[in-house]
Amino acid sequence: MSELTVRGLEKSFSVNGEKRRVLRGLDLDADTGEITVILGRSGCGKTTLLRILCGLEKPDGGSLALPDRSRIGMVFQEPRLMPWLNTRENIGFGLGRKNADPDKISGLVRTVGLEGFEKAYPAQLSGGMRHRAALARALACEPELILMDEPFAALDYFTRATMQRELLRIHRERRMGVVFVTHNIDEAVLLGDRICIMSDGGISGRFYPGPSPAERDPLGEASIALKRSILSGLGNAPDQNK
Amino acid sequence: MKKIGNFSKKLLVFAAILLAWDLVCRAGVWSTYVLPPPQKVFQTLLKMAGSGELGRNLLISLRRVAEGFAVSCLLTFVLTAAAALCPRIVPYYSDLLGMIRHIPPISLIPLFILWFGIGELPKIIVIVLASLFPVLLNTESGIFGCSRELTEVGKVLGFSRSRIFFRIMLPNAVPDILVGVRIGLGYAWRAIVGAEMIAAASGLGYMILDAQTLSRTDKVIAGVLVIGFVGLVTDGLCAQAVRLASRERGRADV
Repeated sequence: MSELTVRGLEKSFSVNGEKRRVLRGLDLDADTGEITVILGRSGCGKTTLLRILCGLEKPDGGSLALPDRSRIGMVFQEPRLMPWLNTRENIGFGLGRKNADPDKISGLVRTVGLEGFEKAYPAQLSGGMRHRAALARALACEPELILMDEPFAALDYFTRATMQRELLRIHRERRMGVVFVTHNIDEAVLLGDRICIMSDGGISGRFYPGPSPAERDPLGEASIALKRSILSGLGNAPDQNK
Repeated sequence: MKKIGNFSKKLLVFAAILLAWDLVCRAGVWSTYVLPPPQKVFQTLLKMAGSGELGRNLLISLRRVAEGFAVSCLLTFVLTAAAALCPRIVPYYSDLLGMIRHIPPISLIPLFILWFGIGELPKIIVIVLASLFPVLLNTESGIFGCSRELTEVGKVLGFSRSRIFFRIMLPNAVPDILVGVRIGLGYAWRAIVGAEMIAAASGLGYMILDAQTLSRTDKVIAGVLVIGFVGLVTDGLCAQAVRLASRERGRADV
């Protein structure tokens, strides 16, 4: 059972009076408990797709079947923490005052490894820590599906690698669905249970790396071969179904 | 060489002015009626403080400012919340406010005397007119300058419009609101003294004008000094509040 089904999604924006079709009949499925990576170059419509999925934009056409909005979490490209709230308050931001169980927040602080920084304000955190807090804020609402828009793109190599490992660990623990948008092929190969290549406003190729991300060797033969076929897929876009 | 502290720098300027004042008086450049010597002014100040005249008038002026300023803050809250939650109503009043904003409150006093007499009401209205706009405009710029990045976080979390206003836009605007409060309080303070000089039977402005009609230049200068000092203190408190609100946001330099 797919928890996310998108059929024939259409979206246009007018730029300087000119209509630009960003999404052209896009189809997408994402399964419960899987990490679906959407890979594409900048400007191919990845962010627009996520913004439609989380309800920030309305599609012009097509159908969407998703979990209830309250069960969808979103992690933006920027951490977008509230600068006047400390780490704990930011993590509990989406919960009402009544629902913000202190033990739960403490658990989330541990999950994303921010112990000792509970009382720090965003300006006092490093870039990676802010992204952790933003991830914890999305997790606090216990989403079935979490949408992530190039969340680690602004981080340096080492911090990004740590965050990717953390994401895989959290995903293993919580088994929520993840739709992860990136332009980084290595990141896609490392994280994805399913990799969808996006170009020209649609999904032009689908790859299923096989072994779960945790058992995958990012430098192994299989990963290299996968990377090669993704690269050729970005060139002439074959549909390599299972 | 040891650096001079900020407090000493401030004190130094005041001491220099005081010294010059004293020298000019001793040299007899102007008559003591035009410029009474500093000693005389401070004696008068102490006497006025001792007799309760100063405290009474100061309290009356401060109370008027507090009342009028509270009305300004309330109006600001109502207007901004309405504009944020229901933007369609803004055109009904935006140009009216724009017009009122450009009328100097003091110029309305003759009309107010005619309509309301010289009681408390016209003074409160003058303070509201003087202080509403700096508070309102700064609050609006803080509220509506809230980046979409932050309001979208609320939308994604399923917040209602009013929850986005109260949990994101309003706290985000606190530093701007405090800047508006700081400017607005200064305007209110200046306006009340002016209003009391035109139509009042109490307050610092009245006290100064009354002293002038009695040819008590020393009392006039003492009153002016008190106005300046009180303004400095309230402004310092506001500046401190702005600093506190900005510090946690990592913008301590504001």
